[in-house]
Amino acid sequence: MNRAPLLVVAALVPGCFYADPINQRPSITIEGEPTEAVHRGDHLEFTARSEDPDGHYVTYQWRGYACREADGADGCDVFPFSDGLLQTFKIDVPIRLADDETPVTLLRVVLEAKDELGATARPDEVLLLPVVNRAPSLELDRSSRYRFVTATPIEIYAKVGDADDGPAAVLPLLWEVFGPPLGDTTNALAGLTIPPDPLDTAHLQFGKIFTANVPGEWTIRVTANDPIDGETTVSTMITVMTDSPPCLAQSLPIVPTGGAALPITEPTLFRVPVVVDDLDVYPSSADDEVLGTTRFAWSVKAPGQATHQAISGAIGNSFAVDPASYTPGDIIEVRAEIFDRTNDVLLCPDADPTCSVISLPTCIQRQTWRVEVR
Amino acid sequence: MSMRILFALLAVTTGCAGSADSPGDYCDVSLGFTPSMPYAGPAGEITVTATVTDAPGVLVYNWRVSFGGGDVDHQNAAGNNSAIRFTALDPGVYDVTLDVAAPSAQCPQKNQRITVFDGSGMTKDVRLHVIPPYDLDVPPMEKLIRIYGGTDYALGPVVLDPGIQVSGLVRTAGNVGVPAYMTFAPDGMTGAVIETFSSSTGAFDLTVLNQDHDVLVIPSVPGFAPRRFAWSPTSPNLTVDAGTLISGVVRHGITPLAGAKVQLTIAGVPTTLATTAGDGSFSVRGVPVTGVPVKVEVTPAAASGLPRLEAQAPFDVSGPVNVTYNAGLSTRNVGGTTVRRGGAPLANRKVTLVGALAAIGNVQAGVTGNASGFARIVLSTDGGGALPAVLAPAGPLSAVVAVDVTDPSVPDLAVTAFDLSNTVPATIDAVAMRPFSTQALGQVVLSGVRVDLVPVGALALAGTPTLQLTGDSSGRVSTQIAAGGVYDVVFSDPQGRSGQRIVSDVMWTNVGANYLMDPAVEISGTLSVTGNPNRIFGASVQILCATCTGLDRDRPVAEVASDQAGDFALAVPDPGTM
Repeated sequence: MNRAPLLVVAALVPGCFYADPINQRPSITIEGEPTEAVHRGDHLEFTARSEDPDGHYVTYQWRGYACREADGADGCDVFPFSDGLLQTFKIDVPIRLADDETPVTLLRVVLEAKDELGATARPDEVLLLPVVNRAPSLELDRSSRYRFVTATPIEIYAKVGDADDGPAAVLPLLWEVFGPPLGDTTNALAGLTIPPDPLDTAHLQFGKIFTANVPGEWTIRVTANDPIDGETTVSTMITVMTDSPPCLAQSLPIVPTGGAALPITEPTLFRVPVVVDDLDVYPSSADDEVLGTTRFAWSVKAPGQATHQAISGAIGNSFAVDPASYTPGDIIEVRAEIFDRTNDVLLCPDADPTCSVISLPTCIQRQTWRVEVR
Repeated sequence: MSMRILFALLAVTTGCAGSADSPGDYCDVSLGFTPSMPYAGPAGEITVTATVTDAPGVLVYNWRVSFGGGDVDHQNAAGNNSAIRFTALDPGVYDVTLDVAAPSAQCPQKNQRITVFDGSGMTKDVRLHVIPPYDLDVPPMEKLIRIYGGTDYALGPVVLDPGIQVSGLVRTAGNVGVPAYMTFAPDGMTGAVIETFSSSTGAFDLTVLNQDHDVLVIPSVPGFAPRRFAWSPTSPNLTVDAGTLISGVVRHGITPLAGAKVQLTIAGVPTTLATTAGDGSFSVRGVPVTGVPVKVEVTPAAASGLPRLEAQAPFDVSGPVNVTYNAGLSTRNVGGTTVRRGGAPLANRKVTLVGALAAIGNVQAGVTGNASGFARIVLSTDGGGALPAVLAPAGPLSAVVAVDVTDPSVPDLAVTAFDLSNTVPATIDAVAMRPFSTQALGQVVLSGVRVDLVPVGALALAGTPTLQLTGDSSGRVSTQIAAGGVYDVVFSDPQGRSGQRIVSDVMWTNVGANYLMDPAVEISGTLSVTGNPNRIFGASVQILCATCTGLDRDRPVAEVASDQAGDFALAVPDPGTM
């Protein structure tokens, strides 16, 4: 064939065979796929990214489905729990499927898109995100009005929440006590009712009264389980002390030292106005079943007596001495001793004017006045 | 960048941090109220005014007035709401709380407790006595406060004076140190006594109020007379001397009495102690003061069987002091008297013969004063329950028998008349203890009430201590008391629900089934020390009788220890309303 006619034909073809450009489908991707485990109730945000070869405006259609992981995509609800048309898709992961019973274990997010000419992105963009159960939250606290002393109640509080199942769904807490050697953990815990906080419905509080029979480091371990598989265990360590001996904090009148004697010419009230103690203070004013008051014992060493003689009936915080009961010029010793409920025996020799069962000069349980009767 | 520019920038930066963030600044809020002593009633209108400083701008005042757990209506009393007024219908303590919202500062919440008095209330003065804890070296405080019937009383801040530390010396005129016992009573606050001892060198250190004091010095070594001083911290040294020799004679009738101890107390200051010689003479050292009460006390030797003698009058001690027991005052030998219970002898028991005896003699020193006396003779029975051969005054005595004192909470005692006026009784029957059971009643059930059985009469003379009981959950107390014993029963409520009540002269035969404790009013306050923001924890706070004497002056009507916040609250008997 002659080349010239062919070129002429070829030059005429574009005019003869004109057609509109073919609209191409947009392509889409989902951004914002979580990098960490997704829990029920989590708030998630996805963003659609699209590219249209024709430069057309692209619209989106999001759908979020709650699913059951065991069945994969077939285990999803028929209807989405959420849908959207915006570029950003914000959802809160549902707790349960549409049957309102089955926990959500898989999240299916579907993104569809089409351009302004109706070309649909193919295939749909689908995310399948495993959804895990969130374990209950658990906080522990404790308090004691009795300085964490053995044989006194210590209140343990547990604050429980469950972001996906709700605090009420948490199974009964498991309370465990681990004590020091000789610690009797069997009956260490008793029930304690904590009223609900109307301002905090996301949590429930439970309590126990813990009573330790021996001092030492005790551990209270509390385990919270939700109805699925979530479990949280929190422990709190409590240092339980023995009941410290009482401390004679004030005494009147002045206590002579260095061989001096307090001259008394009138009936004189020897007093212990204040005793500091864990449980048995003086003066005691609290209406409390556990707290008590100091026990006092008074004794006198009169001339001719080898040791201090207990004054029967003198069990208050004061003791009156009438110099008329003695001969003027007599030197007598008036002694106060204090005891709490442990009734620690004062092992100091009778001749010692003071005594501390813990060898602490600032915490004495005995005070002695050397008195000159005038 | 030059250093000058750098400094300028730093200065600007600092200024911005302080001024631009001005909400971090704090303002001051104070409250005042009128009238200063408001009375309850429909006309009892109280105006509370706030003064706010360091808070520029338009302020928002949020007031709250509460009383007895409920809110009290109030009205604005100032255009900008910086003052309110309310009517106090009932007496008691009203709480006024103010929160101020300021645009450029944080204002602290302010609270004012206002005591509103009952116009028909009677009043009673009591002493508020505060003893700081041992680790706080500040002087004690005592002041009179007036309680108003039917009205709780919020004292507000009770501030202790930190005092000043003073070092001094008790010495002779020749500057030789003298060991001594001393009491320092601030002028106008005689109950806030501070005691101390001077060392063997006479040195002493103490913390006292920076004011004049009344100081009593009782030397611990012979040869020096006790003396009272008007003392000031600015001149801390105290000079003692031998005082004046005061002499006299003690006789029984016309017979000189040897071996008797003699001491005088002149205007509250004791003399030295002397023992009469074979001729009955004695000499003590003291500081005579004309026209003041002088107490003469004589303690005869135990073997004489004579009672102790006391006389008080404005004796003139510049001359001889002659003490005479009545010639007719005789003694009897109690040996052989058998002490028994239920017919069985009580072997090896302590028996105290006691008795108060009137008009047993006199003291002549310028004037003549009648003397009274008392006996207190401690004996032990032998294996057969018999008293030893001992002389005792021939008078109406009592025997206090310690039958069994092994249980400290319930000593088994018996009080039996032992009248030696005409003869010596052959036996002392120690009657068995008797039940004491009663109940304290109040506006509510008085669990844990405290009941003190304070011995009086023979038991007190025998030195029997106060027996302290604690009530059960319904306020009941039960114990055993000495048959023949007489007690003052003191009901008090440590929990402050009722005021103290004292029932006098209670015997087992007249114990009431119950006693209604007095209504209480509350006295509250907060302890601190001047110039120290810390509250005082563990101080002893007591309400004491203002008019009592002797031991009752020291026995608290109510007592408590201040808490961690320095707060205290005491319940005292309501003086009542007309």
